[in-house]
Amino acid sequence: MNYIIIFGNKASELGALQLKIQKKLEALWECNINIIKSQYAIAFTTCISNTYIKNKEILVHEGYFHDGETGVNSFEKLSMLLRNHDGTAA
Amino acid sequence: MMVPLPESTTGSFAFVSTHKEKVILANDILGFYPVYYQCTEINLNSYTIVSNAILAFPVISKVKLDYVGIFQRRFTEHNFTYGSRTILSGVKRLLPGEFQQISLDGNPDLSLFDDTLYKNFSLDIKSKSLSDIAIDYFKFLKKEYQIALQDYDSLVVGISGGMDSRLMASALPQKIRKLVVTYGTNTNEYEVKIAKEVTKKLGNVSFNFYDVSNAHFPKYPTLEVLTKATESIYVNHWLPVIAHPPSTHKQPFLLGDMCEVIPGKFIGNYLTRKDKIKTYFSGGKLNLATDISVPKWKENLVSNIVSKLPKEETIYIWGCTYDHLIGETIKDIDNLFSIIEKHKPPYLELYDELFRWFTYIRITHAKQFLIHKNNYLPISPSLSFRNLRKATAILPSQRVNYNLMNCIFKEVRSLKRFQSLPTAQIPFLPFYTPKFLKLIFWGIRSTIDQMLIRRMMRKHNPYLRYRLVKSLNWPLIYQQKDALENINSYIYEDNIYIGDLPSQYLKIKNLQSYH
Repeated sequence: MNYIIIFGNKASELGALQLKIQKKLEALWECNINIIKSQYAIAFTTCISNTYIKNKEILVHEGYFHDGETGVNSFEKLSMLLRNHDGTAA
Repeated sequence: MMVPLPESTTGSFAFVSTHKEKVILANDILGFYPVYYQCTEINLNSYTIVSNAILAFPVISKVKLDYVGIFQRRFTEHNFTYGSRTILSGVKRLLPGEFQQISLDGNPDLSLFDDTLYKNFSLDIKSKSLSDIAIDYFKFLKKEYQIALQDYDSLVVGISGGMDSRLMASALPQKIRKLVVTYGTNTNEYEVKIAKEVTKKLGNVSFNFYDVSNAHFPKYPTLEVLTKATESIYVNHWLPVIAHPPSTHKQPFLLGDMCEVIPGKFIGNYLTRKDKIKTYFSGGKLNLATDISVPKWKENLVSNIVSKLPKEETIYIWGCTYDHLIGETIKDIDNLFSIIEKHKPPYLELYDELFRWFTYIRITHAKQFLIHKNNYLPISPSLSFRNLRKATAILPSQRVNYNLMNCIFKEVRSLKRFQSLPTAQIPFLPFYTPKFLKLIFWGIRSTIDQMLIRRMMRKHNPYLRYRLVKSLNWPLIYQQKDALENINSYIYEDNIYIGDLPSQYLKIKNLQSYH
């Protein structure tokens, strides 16, 4: 696990991460901070609706992205586009 | 070079994802959502930390202050850092349109940019009439707003006395309920009256006025709480709007006026009052970007920025040499230039525009976004990457001096209802008044305003009339009773040389200088 991703709705909420340093991980749950783990990363986030894990990979985002085809906001589509980084979906 | 996100896509975003053994970070072409990252070592292991909050870094890893970053934040014209620099050493901010891929060993192994602004610019578009462009553009804009707001049934929108917010509100989907907000020191102010009139014509709205008389210099605890929550301080007179939303549940808040994009407000040659008058008659001369003119443009810009920074003899910064601070700042500006050049703006004046977008606009919108995020869901369709691409494909001469904006209001049938209303900039005359008459009246109004301001300053009396029409009264805002006491309380262990803030305030309050 070599990546740490920290996204908050409010910067001050992330102050609760101080608790992590005190090795009170369970306390993070009480602070409404989500912890998501994948093979190489751990994400701490208060952006509950903007963070999810799919196929063991973590996705965090802010803003909106519309793919123009399905008519919905789709960060999964953006994720596919960026992973190929040549502008074409896998 | 990065092949762009397809033309059918739109949005504005910050994005982080893990993928196999790598982490991918990206933001859109303007990139006002902050994404910070640091590749560091913790307990002898390589770590990459990514966050949307700079406060997160000192919590996780050992970081030191970056004095060059602090120097830039403190002393540059609009108080921002250039390029990827932040106020923390080793912590970088993603650049506009940047895509970063970082591997497990903490090394960025791929850095690409979306460089597609001006890509569709072509002189062939001269053959298309401005009317056709205006109709097509407004149709496009409405679609952008519909896409961005499709998940909401109501939103908060700020309306002023100008055309920008009027256009923005007109592009909103009809079915969405609009909670209009405006501010002032008195409901009799001309801007507020116009905002009310615009609101009446919008339909499906409610109108909320916020009194900002005593908001500009808040008490220290208010600033402290807000800064910790949002990492941002922006125009203080918006604080009442931010602190007291018109609805009890978190509403989307429409951000981003149109000044930056549609009227090409930051296209060089059109920046000052004098430029505007000159270019009105001459049409404005644009200089082609060439291998000779671009380096010269860069040199002039750097020299202009550096000339506004404090001189060696006037300040001593945290043990750094002056040459180091300036040298590093120039490197950061060069870093930004390299991104601007990737977009290949066809004219030097468009280099000016892009530089402003990637500095002033990007950072001020980031601040607006962060500060509104506290109580709202801020959203900014006018700065979507597709809109920026679209606008940069239009000839600068068609955008400047409100040519395109005026044409939109003239040609789009649903906007004709706003034609009878004046703007705060050109009061009393309906918007449909011929342009040359409006220019004359604007000149008269502006000259009278300047005379009134000069008289008020000469007599050091903030209670004298200071505008031809009654408008937001800045001299009175500076008379806030507890302002000096509050400003003094902001200065605590002054490590960033703000000790002269109270005297600067008093000069403005006593009308010895004008803000």
